[in-house]
Amino acid sequence: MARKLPPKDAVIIGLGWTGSILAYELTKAGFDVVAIERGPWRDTASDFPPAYAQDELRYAIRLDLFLRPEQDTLTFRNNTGQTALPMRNFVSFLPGNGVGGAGVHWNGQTWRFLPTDFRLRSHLEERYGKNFLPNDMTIQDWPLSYDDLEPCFDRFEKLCGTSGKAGNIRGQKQAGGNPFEGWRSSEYPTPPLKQPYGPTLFAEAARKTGHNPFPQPASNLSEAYVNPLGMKLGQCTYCGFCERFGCGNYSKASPQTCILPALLRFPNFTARTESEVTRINLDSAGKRATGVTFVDTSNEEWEQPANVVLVCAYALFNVRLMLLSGIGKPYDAEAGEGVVGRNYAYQTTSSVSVILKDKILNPFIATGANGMMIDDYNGDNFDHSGLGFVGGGYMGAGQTNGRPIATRPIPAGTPLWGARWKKATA
Amino acid sequence: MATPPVPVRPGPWMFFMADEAALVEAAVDRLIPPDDRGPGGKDAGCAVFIDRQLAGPYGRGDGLYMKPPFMRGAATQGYQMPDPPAARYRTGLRALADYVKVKFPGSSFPELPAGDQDKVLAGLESGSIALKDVSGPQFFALLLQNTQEGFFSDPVYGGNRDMVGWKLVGFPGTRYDYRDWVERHNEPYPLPPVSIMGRSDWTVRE
Repeated sequence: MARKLPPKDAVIIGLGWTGSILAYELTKAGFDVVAIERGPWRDTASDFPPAYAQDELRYAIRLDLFLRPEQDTLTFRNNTGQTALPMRNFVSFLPGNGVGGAGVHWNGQTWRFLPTDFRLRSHLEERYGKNFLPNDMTIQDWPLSYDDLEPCFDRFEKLCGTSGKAGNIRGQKQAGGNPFEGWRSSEYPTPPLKQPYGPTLFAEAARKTGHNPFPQPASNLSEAYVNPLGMKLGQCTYCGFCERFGCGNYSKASPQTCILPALLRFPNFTARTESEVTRINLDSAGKRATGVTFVDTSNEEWEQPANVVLVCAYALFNVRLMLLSGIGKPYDAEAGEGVVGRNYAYQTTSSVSVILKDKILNPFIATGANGMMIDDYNGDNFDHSGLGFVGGGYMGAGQTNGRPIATRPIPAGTPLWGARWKKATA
Repeated sequence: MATPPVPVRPGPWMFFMADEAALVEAAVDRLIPPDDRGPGGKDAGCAVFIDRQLAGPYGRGDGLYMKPPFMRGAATQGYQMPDPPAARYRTGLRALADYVKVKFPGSSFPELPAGDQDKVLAGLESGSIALKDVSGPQFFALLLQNTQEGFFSDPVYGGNRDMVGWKLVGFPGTRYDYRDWVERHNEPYPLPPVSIMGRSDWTVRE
């Protein structure tokens, strides 16, 4: 039987980016808020100090900061003909864990959605005709527009201190920025990062071939910055240990660097770490959330009543909690019915490796989000008539690291070991 | 709370038996052979690295999901067996030693000429050699992955001795601040590597 805690105005499940942003807003407005986080407390000075944070084996290979499958994993299958089996270690995607969530170990690549992304079905039907999309394609419009969200994009970038170059300020095209981006109410808070040689070569080639290169928007900061909450961020040192690592230099935007110190000053905010929410509790009609049930590290079960429950545990875990709690109609892929879990998509990027034999690229000089990009082939930025597909992606050259266990480019056809491998990898 | 890694100290093997250690030292020296560019896997400490890894949390499979059901899945569903890395080495090395004993009577793997060692390793990699109760390609992939980890990880873990792996590929290690070098395009970075533990020439010699 769960022991019942005193009620709160709001309970937040997960203390990553979304959890900490919402916690700050609610707490500042005077509400009594508790955030429940399944992983440990983490802060910059004690958890990823520069003294030993640059450890590829520990963080990038053994995945020290991520969710451990032992604590919580998923079963998966590629299609309904297979038996779903547990993921015993995480490889293809790496769920965050602990205070700061994936905001601790992200790369800081801070893109906005394109305006057409919000009304994709309407846009495509207007441009290409009603019959352009096949019947089984589930693309639909969002109930929000780009214009609705622009102030939120702007606010998030100012919270992070994002480095970049605007391409469109209130409809005025800006040289050097992304000409395809939606309008922005202001320039990026900090100027673009410096670019290493590889991205510089890509940008030159892109310009020569009539494309529109621009620096990737980066929440690894090009210069020192104070955000609207008074948090001070430092200039990025291009150390090359960004994705999969916490930043010991206060240069990468994260809940730790941008929000938490301000949030923790409020006496009406509490964080419970190493406590996993197992269920969202509902009233007898099943229509209203009344709080959550969670388990602590000693397997003790607790009930936290609250007027508002905010589900901030990442799309995958949010959906699972809703399904386990009997909220909404589960998505049935066969029937095409139900919304909980429908259209879940993971970010996919694909890459090609290029070896430039006569150039010195120093790939270890890197940040998580440096790079020069083109958006000419993203979304519906080009004519899809007769192409047989919709959508696209940004392209560019960005190298986030030269860490030698995982980054060992060798020409195709080279053996993976032995004398020939050693010669090729040197 | 996070803690700094504890430096690996030289000394007796902590996981391997003597014959296992000899086999692994011979194998890592073929996976990364010594040549005029520098030492191979053995002198770089790759076997010491693997030994210490297997004696610790990695070897035990700490953090992995190790509960049933254990079923053979599709290749895309990853390794689905109940044995953690330490157990995979124990059975894999025994099966490999048994194979060599039958195939090359009177010799153990470390005693084979380099060419024969390479043939055995290539056979494991391709699956053309069948080991008893062990998937050759899976065991080879584990051994190769751990060997390269040892060669290129921070020397604090017992491999990459004297930073030979980093020197081979021109990786400066934990230099931390490259701000002055970002825009010096096409120029070789001049400073030698640094580890979490510093550099040997910064250390007081006893």
